Amino acid sequence: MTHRPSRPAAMLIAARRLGMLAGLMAASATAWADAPADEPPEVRTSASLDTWLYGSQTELYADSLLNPGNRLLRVPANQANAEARLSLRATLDSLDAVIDTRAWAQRDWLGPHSDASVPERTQNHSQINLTQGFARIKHEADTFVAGRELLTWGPGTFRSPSNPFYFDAGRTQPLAATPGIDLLRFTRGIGPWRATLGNVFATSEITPAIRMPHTRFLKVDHQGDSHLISLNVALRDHEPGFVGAFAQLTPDDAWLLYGEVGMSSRPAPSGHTWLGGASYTLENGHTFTAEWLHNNGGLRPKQMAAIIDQAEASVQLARQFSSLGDAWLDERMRPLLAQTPRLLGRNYVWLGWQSNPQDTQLIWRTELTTNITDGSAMAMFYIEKNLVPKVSAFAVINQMGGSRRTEFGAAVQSRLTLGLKFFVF
Amino acid sequence: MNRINTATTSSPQPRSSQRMAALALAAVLGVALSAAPRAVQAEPDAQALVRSADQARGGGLPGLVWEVHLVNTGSTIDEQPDERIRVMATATSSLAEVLDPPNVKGSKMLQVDRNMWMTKPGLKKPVAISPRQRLSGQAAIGDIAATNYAKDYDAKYLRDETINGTPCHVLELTATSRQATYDRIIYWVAAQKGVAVKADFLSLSGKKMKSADFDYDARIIINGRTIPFVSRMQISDALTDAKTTMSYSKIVVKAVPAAEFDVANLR
Repeated sequence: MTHRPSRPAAMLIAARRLGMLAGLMAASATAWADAPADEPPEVRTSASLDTWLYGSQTELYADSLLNPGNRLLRVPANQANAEARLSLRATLDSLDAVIDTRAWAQRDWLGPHSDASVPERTQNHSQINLTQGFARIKHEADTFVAGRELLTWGPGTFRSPSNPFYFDAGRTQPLAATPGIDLLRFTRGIGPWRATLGNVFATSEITPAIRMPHTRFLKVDHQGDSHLISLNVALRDHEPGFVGAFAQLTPDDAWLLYGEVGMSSRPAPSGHTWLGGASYTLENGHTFTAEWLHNNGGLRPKQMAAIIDQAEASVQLARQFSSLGDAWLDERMRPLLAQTPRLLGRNYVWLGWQSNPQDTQLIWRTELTTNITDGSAMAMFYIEKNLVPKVSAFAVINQMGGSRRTEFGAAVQSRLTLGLKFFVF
Repeated sequence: MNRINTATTSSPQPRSSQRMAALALAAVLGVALSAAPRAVQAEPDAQALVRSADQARGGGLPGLVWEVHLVNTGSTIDEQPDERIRVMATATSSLAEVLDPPNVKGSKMLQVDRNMWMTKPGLKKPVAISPRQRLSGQAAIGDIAATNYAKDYDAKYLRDETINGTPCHVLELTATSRQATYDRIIYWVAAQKGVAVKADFLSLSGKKMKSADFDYDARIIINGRTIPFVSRMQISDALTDAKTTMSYSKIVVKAVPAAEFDVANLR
């Protein structure tokens, strides 16, 4: 049992850390104070509002072992979504203020129940989030940030092993709106070196949810002519630490080579994750990317088989004894699923092919993710076409494959999403 | 040429003959100098010409902030809308933010030496991109940032040539590093104003890929001196009728903090 400090003690600890950061700022403030006073302040503001309307249709595997009759995961057969994303920016000389908000409403149609007498169910969800909201001061090579910031890094596309807060890179989910974390950070740059010291107060907005409040981190970067190397350490009181690193190299115009690693005993008992990748860009701007990820915290084949066997046995019992009902099945299965790691497998290959992202009229992307351990795979295709200056249409197709005893073949078979984006201003 | 009597005899010549010989020698030398001026006049310093041309396109300055309006034309262009981009640049780095059109507003492209990233609203993290992912139409990211051909190319003087009534020095620029946007450039620099008038962009094999011409209707003040500055650059594809015209405006010469080129600050 770990001993957690009392609330007053925790506040005292936090205050001391804030004091350290404030001291760092003060030490730099004298160097920052001698900015020339004869130039008029530069003031810039910008605002943008996008609204998205999109709907999804999901096909499930009827013979799913982990989600029989969709009674456990309750994946909606159809979804309708409306989103509004407002972004505000203001700059006064070296001071930036950033506010990104997202308002989201979703209606789910859960599809027919296994019990025909139960009517089709619908659910409504809505939320308003502050995705980012921070103030940033830049002076020479130094930066200070306070607020909620999307603190992501690393060259990996499939996942970001080197980041303790954002393992799921999100680039495999084109409609994702990733929220920031609440922090204070200070970056000092000297020549090609940058050192960042930060304190993260809350990570509660991130989904899938992670809980890493009161995390201190140190990140050191070396920026060269054609490379970027980074090392970071994240620590929490009475919790296992995290060490991450990444490196990327641009040997010429066409190639990009990179790797990421993260080591921690969170969330799995022994978690280290490695990613290696390479991308090649053609003259027309199209890019081919290949990544391999080793996830040491993933399930071994026997562990995965044990989960499937337990699930299958529970389903058989529920079928045999109809009086057991959904609640019983839920009680049996949910703890089982809660123990599964963030990535089920131990080895993945991710392949991507995309158009020139600088194109303003048409962009597309296709990806294939393969779980090498169990042989299952997921393909994704995304396309977005600008119809008129303020309206774009988009489509996302996901297709899963593999036996019911595999990660991508366990529950969802396919998903089709169609939508429109309106760029209001 | 008058024949000079240089015969040597043992007896001394009269004074009037010596004076006439000296005058004749001076006349011969004068004729020789006027007849062959190029033989003794120094060839222009090609690298210095490139530095001068760079300054009128943002090179050699402490930093530059400007807006670029890109217009793509041509029968092969699929109705690409105009783009408006705000650029901050130094000798080795540039940060471009798209202001227009609305569907890509807020996108940013960061270049630090040979490393490049882009981010768009909604992207979880900046994505490393290749210089081959051309900015728009015929324009590369290097075309909207400050020009530093003097750093990235070796210059060789080729000849003099007059372009549209403007006497120019013609130079051949060869890339010294893979960081350079183009492998080889034939560069026309106005003899009087020292600004680039025209450029042909070649592949390593010498095949012309694109060409560009420039206007200098803008003015900036450097060390109390007003100098012409690029106001327009038009890049034309060598094989098709595709063109990209970039108009530069809101030009401010000022030091740009290094923190602007930190990939962690792209949000």
